[in-house]
Amino acid sequence: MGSEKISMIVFSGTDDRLIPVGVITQAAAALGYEVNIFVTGWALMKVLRKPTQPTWPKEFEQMVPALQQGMARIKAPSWVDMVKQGKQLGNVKVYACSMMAEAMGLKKEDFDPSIVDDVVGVTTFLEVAKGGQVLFI
Amino acid sequence: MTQGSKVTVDARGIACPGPITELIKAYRNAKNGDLIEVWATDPGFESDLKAWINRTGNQLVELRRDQDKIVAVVKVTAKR
Repeated sequence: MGSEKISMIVFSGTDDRLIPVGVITQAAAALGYEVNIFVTGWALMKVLRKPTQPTWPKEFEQMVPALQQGMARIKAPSWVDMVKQGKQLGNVKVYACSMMAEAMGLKKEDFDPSIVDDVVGVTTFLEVAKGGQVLFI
Repeated sequence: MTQGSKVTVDARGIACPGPITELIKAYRNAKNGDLIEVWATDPGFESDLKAWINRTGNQLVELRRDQDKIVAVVKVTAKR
């Protein structure tokens, strides 16, 4: 069971895509999967000590209040809390992309240390993800 | 196998992957022979539980609907 792993390249910064990152991470960690998350693109802004405000895709904007109410009703934790729960339950590593971090002027200390384990290059991610499933989100 | 203890996990009102997570937390503290009873309302729980049973090889003793909740009883048999 310990050899199973799932890795994600998380690029999108909108909450509709980050929620499944949390759900998959928590469940996979609970089941004993190794989980590797490579955060790049706009998603980098969501793992900062001071993350940007949640955003949603324009075409679904009208449905967002209903979704948020529904998430509260079913007591769904935030995607970040699900990732943190995954870290408590199992082997979850979150890496920030060094290239995008450089491009956006972000230093290692700008990232929330309760989420991000390290700032690494893509070679590191490819090595840790090798042989397992990879999702691009 | 000796008679184990029984714990009840109330996962009603919490959504996927909450119920299976709560079951796994209880499972980690359990030993072979123990029973874990789970109450859940998430509609995905029934199939998720069956998938977990398949994956782990523990025993599903009971699975029923009780009014608005799903009640599952798992016998822990696959701990190493």
